[in-house]
Amino acid sequence: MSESIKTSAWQAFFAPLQIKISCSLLVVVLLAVLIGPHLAAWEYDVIHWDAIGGAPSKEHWFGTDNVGRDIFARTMMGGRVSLLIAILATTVSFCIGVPWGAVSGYVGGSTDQFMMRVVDGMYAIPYVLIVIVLVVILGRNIYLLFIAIGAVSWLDVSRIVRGQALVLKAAPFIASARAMGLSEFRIVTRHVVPNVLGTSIVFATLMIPGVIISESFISFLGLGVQEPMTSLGVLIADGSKNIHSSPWQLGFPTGFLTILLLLMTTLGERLRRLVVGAERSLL
Amino acid sequence: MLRYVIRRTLFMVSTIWVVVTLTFFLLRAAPGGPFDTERAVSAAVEANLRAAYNLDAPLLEQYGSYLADLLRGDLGPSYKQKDFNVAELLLHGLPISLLIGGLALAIAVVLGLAFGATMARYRNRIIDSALESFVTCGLALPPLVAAPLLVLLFAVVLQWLPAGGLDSGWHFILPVISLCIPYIAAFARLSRSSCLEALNQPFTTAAQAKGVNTWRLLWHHVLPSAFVPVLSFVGPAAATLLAGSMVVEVFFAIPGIGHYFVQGALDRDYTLVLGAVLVYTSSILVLNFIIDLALLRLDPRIRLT
Repeated sequence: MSESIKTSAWQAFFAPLQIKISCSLLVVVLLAVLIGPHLAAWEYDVIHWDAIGGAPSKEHWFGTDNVGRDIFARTMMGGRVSLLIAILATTVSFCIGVPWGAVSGYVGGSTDQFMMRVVDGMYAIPYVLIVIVLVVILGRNIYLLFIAIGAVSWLDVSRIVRGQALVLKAAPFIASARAMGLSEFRIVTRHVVPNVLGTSIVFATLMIPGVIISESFISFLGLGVQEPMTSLGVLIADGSKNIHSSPWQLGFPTGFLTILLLLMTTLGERLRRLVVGAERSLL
Repeated sequence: MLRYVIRRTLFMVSTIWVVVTLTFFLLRAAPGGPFDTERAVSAAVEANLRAAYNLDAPLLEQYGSYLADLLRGDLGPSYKQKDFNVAELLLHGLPISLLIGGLALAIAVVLGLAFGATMARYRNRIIDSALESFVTCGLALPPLVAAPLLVLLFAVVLQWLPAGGLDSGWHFILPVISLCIPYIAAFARLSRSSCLEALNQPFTTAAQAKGVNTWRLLWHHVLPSAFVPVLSFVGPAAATLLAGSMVVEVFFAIPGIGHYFVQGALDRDYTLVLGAVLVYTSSILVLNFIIDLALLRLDPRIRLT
């Protein structure tokens, strides 16, 4: 891609004011998540006996929970954990989905038929059930959590990659690679996969809010991240137990998650429209 | 038609069998069991417990007797909630979960269609883009976010509605609303595009040429044709709605199936988890079957394959 196309793509993306605002806000949120836990005067897992269930104050910006831990520090830490798990789970889903889709689309024929039937079959099963059964089997463990989420969210990735691979298959440079006598394996790994990665990464950013929701959902149910580690789902679950006596315990984590999801969804939508629009203009 | 129904039924039964078998063996393969507690139970007590629930029999024999019981409608005892068996628990939860989920889906379809049709009618005008921003926000508000926000607003600050439990009709309002928000958005977006597609069909042009007014055109010509893709999305929507219904049931302390499923998963109550998976899978399969039959009637172009 030449330099000028790259810059104009960036300009097109950032053109509307709304996108500029959401982008800057997202950067603020990301910085908050990265630096926040160190910025707060309190550690996220330290108990303050003199501030149990305290309302928001100068010392504890978001108040404290029922065992006296600072909610600001916990929310920032929870946001960090949720985002980290989302990114790792998306990576896992890429590691399964990209090869699956690329092989399926490139090889075609009965292999393609079979591989896509598997995907269709897995779509029919409610993924929550799989994730929860997996969590019950593998135990409640933060590493298994994102593997489990990734293992069920690769379906979308594989479909997108397959569609791209089908188009690429007809491209002249693939024909010339074949004429040069490259092995099928080499064609898929060196020519198909690198060319589908761009579009797939765009769709991956669309997936991240969904994955954050999945993670928070499982942690909310008590099946994901375990104490003293925390995530936004855990914080919402804890906060929901004391809504009348100390609503800030629920309000701040929920507000943070809402902002995060709204920002990422708006940006993802914008990105999706640009990509779909660009694809249409090419056709 | 009859052959189609029979084939679909056989397919459903075999799918349920595969799901039950897989879940059964996966759960048994897991380390730890329902009787693992913080304090170690003496070996003799544990052996007796295992014998009482037939857990010491060979795995295949356990599987055989589970299937045999299943055919008689017996889902086995709950390992943790000793006063009830799994069938009793799930039968108690099913109507509640079905009511909440069904209401949420119905509201989502009706409102989604209404929004979508309005957006298509005023395409690229202010109403369209205003609703579009609503839709984008709605997609970012899953029940896990919507439920706390609604409770904080309506139950804590305004104190209009109860925050949890299930004593009266009022208790259904917040759970149903928080469950249906993202689906209203999804259905609105879908019906906008299918309405636009229908508006470009020759039959709409013909109706317009005959002088049919806009609202009649939308109601009698566009919506019936736009309804087909909307209805076919109800199946996948219901499958993801399950996740939301678990959140809502746990958050609002509603004793539905989701509540029991989550409790079972936390307690490693195998039979309860298995029973809930069975009920969930069968309801989704039956719903999809009904939708496919309805689609056949609605759209004669769909062929039986």
